[in-house]
Amino acid sequence: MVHNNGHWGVRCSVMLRVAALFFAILLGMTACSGGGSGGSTQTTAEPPALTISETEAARFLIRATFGPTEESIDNLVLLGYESWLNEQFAIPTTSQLAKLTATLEAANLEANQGNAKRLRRVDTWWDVVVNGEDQLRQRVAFALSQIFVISDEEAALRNSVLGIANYNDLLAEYAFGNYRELLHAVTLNPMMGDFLSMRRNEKADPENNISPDENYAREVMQLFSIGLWELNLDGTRKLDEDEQPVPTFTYYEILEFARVYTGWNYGNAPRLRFSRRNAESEVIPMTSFEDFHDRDLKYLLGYELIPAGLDAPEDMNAALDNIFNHANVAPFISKQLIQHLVTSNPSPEYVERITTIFEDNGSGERGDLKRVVQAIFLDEEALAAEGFTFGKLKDPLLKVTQLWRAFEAEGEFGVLRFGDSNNILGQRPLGAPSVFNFFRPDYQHPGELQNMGINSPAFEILTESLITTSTNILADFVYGARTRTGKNAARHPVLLNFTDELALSDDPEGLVDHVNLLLMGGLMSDEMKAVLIDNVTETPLDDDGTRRVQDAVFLTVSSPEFSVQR
Amino acid sequence: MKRREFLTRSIQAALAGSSMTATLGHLSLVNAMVPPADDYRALVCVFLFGGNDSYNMVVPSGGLEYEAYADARQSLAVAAEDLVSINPLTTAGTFGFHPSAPELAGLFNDNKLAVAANIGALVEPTSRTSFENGNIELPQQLFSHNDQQKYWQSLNTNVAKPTGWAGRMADLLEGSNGETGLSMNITIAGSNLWQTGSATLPYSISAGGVQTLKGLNSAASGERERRRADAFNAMLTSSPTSAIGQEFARVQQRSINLADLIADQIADVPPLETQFPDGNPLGGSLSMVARLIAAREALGMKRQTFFVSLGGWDTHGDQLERQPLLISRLSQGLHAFSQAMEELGIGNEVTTFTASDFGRTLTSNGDGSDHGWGGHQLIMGGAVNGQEIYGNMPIIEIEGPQDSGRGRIIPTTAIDQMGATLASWFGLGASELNEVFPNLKNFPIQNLGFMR
Repeated sequence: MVHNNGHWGVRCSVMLRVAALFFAILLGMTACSGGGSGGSTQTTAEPPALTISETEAARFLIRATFGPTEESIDNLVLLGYESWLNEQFAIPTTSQLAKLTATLEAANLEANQGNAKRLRRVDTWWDVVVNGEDQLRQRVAFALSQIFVISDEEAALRNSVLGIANYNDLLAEYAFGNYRELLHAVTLNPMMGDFLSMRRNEKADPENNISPDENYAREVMQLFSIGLWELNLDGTRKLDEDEQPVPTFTYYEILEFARVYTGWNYGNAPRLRFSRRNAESEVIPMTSFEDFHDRDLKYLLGYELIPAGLDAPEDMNAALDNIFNHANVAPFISKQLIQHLVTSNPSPEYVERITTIFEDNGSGERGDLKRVVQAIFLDEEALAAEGFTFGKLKDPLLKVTQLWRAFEAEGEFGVLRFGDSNNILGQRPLGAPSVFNFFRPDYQHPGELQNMGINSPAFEILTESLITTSTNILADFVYGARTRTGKNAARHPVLLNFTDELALSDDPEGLVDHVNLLLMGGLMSDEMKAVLIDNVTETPLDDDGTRRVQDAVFLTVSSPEFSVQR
Repeated sequence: MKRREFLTRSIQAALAGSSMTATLGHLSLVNAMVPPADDYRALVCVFLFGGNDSYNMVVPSGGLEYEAYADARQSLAVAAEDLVSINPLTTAGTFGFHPSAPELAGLFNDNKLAVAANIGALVEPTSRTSFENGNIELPQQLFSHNDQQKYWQSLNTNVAKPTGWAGRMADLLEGSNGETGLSMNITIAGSNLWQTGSATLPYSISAGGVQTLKGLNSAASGERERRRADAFNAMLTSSPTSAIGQEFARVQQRSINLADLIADQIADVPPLETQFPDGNPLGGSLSMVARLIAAREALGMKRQTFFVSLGGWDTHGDQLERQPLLISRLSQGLHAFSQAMEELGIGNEVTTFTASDFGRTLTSNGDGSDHGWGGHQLIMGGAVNGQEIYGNMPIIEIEGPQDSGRGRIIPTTAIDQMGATLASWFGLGASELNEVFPNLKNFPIQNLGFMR
């Protein structure tokens, strides 16, 4: 890690344009304007030696991982974006299920210690996203966990800690797979079966006024695939001749799809009307019981008919194919992934570029999420990151992971624990209040942001109350507050490693530059830098530098500028 | 559309041709004068997220009526002998509350609680025929959770910048309050559209109270803390580099501006005798509302709304296990809050009501119910004409005259009508009611009469 990075500035901004241009060509797009120095590469068959600066690397890592570290910045500078992505694509999933299973065995908890088990499920998430090698995979899985939502806030999942860890593994596994296969795996996952009550859904029993459960039928379309309104390729709504948006389905289609999703129970259940379960039930895909499946013909989206007589898996496949081939899937999913990973307000052109790749990865495959993810991060708009409204308010969880990764956080008892983050940050991994996630992608914060017409999803949980509890908890972490502790406490004190920063404590400008790189990808405004440098300078250096470092780090992570991922 | 224009015209004609209180029966415009500044009124919205199956909360218990109910609901039906009976003063028929709601039944029989029957999202009066013919304007995306939550709160979602009806009320009445800058609208349940107006944002307080910033007091004795606070504040006011960061700074500033004041005033409130139920999230939220109401004078508040919530009502599965717990939380939470208001001596000044995404299907999906439409709501307080059921109890019949399919009962009274009745008590005048409740003019009865 080079600390005196002053000489990088000029050279690197040129390199960025070269890199952006190159990838634009790679992806078959028109190169962006304004990069005059890169003109000659357009005709070169050989790619230019792609060099990116530390600040560019850090900015990229803020999006693509749970936060830059000195090591990861160096590695990305060395590899360049594309090789780094390929390296990350190849890293296998760090299994949260395996870790949690081991942790629970070691902890030897009683059957009734549900809360202690839930805390350990969340510990596993923190451990993997802070320390795991598969950073990109887990980061995309985190985005997917906010689209294909399950939550242990739901009573039916409260004690299914293994199932939830396994569900996160599933999202991580399919993060670079195919969307259609992901949709299938999610649909048959027993946690989803419990969460949206598809498990034990039976065909109609007219004598007793019983109709199939509509829950999954609705939410899989409304939230996991096509949304409520017909979309153009660029993610904007289609309008009819009266300038009104066009619904994608009515409740008649829901009734039809509800009949598709009948006849499923835990994979090891002996029959449909059976509710006992064991650890295996939580993690293996559901299985079908044909006596309870509705085998009549069904009309799906676009009046597509699936004939009578199909069994439950056949019906399921036909229905998921029908959904998968709806024109909305590509823009609906692509836009949300962009919003979770890069910016809340992608231009229609950006969305359309990604949608195009979702529809065909260049080899005729639809729904190739690896190519979609790659294109999202390498898009010219993402790399240029221009404009007053570009970017997104960081998920509060990601502020904490950034801090913890940058300074190699260690939790008391060797465990990073933040099990009550829902009360403090408004967000807890796989713990949203409902299937509608912590916030909606089209939420517009009333006031200036709404007046500007821009989406600001994470503002939905940025209340006056939570902003202050969040700022206070960041202070606790930075200043090493000794909070209430114990092996089953909701939170453990953490210790941050400031060794490299302490070495800079006699150099206010160097210290601020370093913090700027590591936490903000060098995007700190001159005004903010000046405030921090003044603060550091005025803090007497009569200790080992801890006070200077702590104040500089805390003021950075609590600042308005840090709250934005740009 | 024609029908709506006709209705609008006839209402306008009726208004033009009548003295203020006549002709429209329940229309009680007398209450709608802007109140003198020395009184206090608060509205508390208890939002039941997920869609309460309220046809099991208030149940017809008489012979044939109960049979029709049991026939429609089958395995979801509450047993007749388990219902807690209530004694409406005039409503014909016999009714009972869910067995988990004895406290609510007690409040009802005590004249402190009313039921608004079969309330729901309507733009104009809607029948099964007009629904099936499609020649009627309907709220968008019926049966979708988030759309219907927004509709309940806004009544006008199909615009670029939707506002909520408590937000619009606050836009009109904000002047009633003191100069602290504290919003008329306080939420214990986070962001919500109901309390958002064109010029009003809700102020969010957690059920645990208000936290102030740690280690950032610019008047602290320690030099280090003062320096840090100055730097923190300088960053909040520095030239923004992004719209998002700028808004973040605004929210942080809003939080800081009022946190000390509110924290101090809540701390000064003597503890209430009333015990709120433990382990009941609604109880915790309502307990904080009670403390804030106790501090109303110190905070300079004359008109307030509060938004609290209880989630988990989306009972597609295991309804028979889940709903009793939820109803019991609602019942015990509301009961404690009613006691707390009486303890504070302002039972007549605080009105609490329930709202929910939608009702649920009468028919079962095996072990639960699916997204429906109309549903019953509760209104509680000393100013409520209690012990009565307002509006019309639905015809509980699958494929009956009010069924839009599977027992998704078409509402017979609009949310606008229920809201306007509350808003009229709160202090809005007739023209203001039509401004705040955009569909009110489409309905013949504009005040349901459940407020004194």
